[in-house]
Amino acid sequence: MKKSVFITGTVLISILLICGKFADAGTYLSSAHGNSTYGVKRTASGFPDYTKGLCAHCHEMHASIDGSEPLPSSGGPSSFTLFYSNHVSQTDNFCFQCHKDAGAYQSGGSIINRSYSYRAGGWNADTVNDTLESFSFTSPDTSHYLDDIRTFITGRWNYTADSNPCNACHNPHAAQGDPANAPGSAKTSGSRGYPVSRPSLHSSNDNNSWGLWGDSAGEKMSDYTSGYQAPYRFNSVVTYEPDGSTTQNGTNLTDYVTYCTDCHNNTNTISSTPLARNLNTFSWSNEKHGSGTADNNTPVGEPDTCSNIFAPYQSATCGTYVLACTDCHEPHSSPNLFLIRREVNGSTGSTVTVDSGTGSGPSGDPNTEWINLCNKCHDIAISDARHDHPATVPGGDAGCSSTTCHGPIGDEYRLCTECHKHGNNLIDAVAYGDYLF
Amino acid sequence: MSMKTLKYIVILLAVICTPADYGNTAISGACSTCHTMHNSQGGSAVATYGASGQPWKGTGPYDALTLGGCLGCHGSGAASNIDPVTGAPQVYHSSASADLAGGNFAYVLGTKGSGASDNKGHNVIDLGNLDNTLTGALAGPPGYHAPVSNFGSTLNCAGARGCHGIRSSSGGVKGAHHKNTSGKIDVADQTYNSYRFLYSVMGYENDGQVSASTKWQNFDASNHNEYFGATAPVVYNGDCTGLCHVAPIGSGGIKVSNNTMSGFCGTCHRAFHVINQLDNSQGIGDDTTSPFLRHPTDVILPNSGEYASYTAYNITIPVARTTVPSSMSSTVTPGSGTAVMCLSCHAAHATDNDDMMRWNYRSSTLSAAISGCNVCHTSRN
Repeated sequence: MKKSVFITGTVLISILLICGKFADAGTYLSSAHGNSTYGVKRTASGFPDYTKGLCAHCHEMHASIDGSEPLPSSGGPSSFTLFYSNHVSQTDNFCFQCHKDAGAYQSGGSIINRSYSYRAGGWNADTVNDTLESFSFTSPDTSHYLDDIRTFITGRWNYTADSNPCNACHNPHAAQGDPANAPGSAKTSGSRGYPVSRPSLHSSNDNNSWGLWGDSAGEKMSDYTSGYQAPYRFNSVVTYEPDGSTTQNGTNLTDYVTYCTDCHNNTNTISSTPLARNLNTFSWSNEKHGSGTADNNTPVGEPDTCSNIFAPYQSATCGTYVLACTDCHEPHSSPNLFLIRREVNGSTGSTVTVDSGTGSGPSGDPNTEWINLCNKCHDIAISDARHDHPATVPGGDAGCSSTTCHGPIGDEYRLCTECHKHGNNLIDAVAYGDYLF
Repeated sequence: MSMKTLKYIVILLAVICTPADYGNTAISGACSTCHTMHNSQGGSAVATYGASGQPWKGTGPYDALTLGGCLGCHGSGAASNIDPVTGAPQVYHSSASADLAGGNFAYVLGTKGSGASDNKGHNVIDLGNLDNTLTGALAGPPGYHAPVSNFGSTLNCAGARGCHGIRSSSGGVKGAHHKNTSGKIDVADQTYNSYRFLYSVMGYENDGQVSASTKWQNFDASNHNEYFGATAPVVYNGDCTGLCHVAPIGSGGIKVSNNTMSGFCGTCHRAFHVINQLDNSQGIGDDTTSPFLRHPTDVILPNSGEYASYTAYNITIPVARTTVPSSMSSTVTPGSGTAVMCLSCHAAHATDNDDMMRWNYRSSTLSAAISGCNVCHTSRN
């Protein structure tokens, strides 16, 4: 009797496992677009009421349904059989036909997409609520510049001049919401999805090989470094990015360093139209905020201390921390320079809108705005808490009195970022190229 | 009558009356199975073939003294995909058994399947049910090239505005049934030696090589028609002669130059198939490489990425061969000799699905709706 029960049970369990395997959704059906409940669904006059997630909501096999081009009509077929031109400009792109908060072709008329500060930081006062809005930011606001992205990826990693620059970061047949299907909420441990795919893994015709990044073992920030410390969530000292849990070591965060440095590294030349120059290069392996050893570049005779670093970062482990790019930067856009987040390490006010100033600083002058960002983690607002500068820079709050610190025009004070920036080989002592910023 | 003459007559009758095998499916048997000399027997019409209650069941007479029009013989409406009397393949039947490879016009009229719909099939005029959508300003086959008057408002089974036979006013399928060749069709210079009488189309016809009961069907992976495709679609550069039209243009008829099934479809649905060098918006794009403006046909199924996984022939999504095969094959070889074609997604006559799709693209279950796409796009599941 026991034997028969065992055999029967084994058979039943095997059947369940097999059926479960068959029932597994693939990469597309697990994506935001391919979700049968909240996936893509084009709504336009005369367009068939196809089920959500169907290919036809984006692709038109013949640019013709019932004898005429379905709406939106672009006057003919479009590349990749899409219903609209793949990419036109910073604010005119196929994706924006749905990823906007009004007038979208997506059923319901809008798709809400929040900033990273909102989703990971938990700062739900951020009013930016759609992707088109994000990419509409113009100077002094910043957004990832799509034309430049397209130029950069063309010829790399199976991308071509026909590629959509959004696809440099997102696989439209795999990308998931994060949080999934909760545009009015920040991430929680129970609502996670994975929206990005590494550009260097892009394949033109294999959705699986160009899979999601961050969803698997080996793709977490904790895999990149043991020195990751998650920042606080907004207005909290007990919960952490990215999902508001108590996890702090990056096991719940995509390895954004590996992801971003596919492009932003010390070898790639990236032309920036908004900056009218190439981006400066850097190596996160050597950066102080990266894997390089962080110290205070202590002058001889001065104590080396990290005593003025803000929680959750701890003085005792200062020098070992490795930050993720998204700890400071928004991926899409920001009203700040260089995509700097408006909420960092649990609080807002990281306003940096003017890269160079004309005042006589340091306090209150535009050219000290970077302090608004830096002091989210470094207590540089109090005179005796400032970390030590090189011998050419006096301590205390005297500012840069040395002539070597003055800018080329008059008595302007130098910006923090003239020294504190990605790729400063004076600080990192590694000559690997120009500055990022 | 001499003994020698008698022997000759016996041999001749034997040849005439021997049932055709798959290598020679020309019409055989008694003439009266298909023809009537006077369309009169006991004072009543004889030419009454066709499904009861349908407009194609008439009283004749018909051209070539046949007992019915095209659907008269091929649309009995009976519960069989092969007419038990004439042996004719049925493209309109009510049988729950498998439809023949081209599909079943019964879906258009709703006498089989989930309900009547014009977009389930080609609305040939014989059905007595013209398309209510593709009319007026939208008249003409989708993807056609102007002027629409080239196509008229009706679609016939055969002839100038049909698919089968010589596509001219004096054409049609006349004589083809009596000379039909079968199996490997790689000549295609006449209607009778063209694939399914689609003039100039090549292929390999399933005429019962595996089983007589499954002939004319795409039955399973090893028992199906083989379609002819190409490594590149027809290239239109403004010169119509020889490409699709037989000189003189306008009266010479239609003859697709690359002999492929997709090229044949493109003779009406041109923009859906060709590479149009004059205006790429009227074709699939500039060449045979991605990105395409429309889903390509007559292009090689790549041997890379997700496409490389389509290796076992799937009759839901049949592929074409770029060399006319001598037999059926259950394998697909991406990258070499395998091409996507119009009939990979659509059936020629009608299906129970919108747009004559081979699977239910409009299923409310997403996984089912994309199941056909996933046969080639194996990672988009």
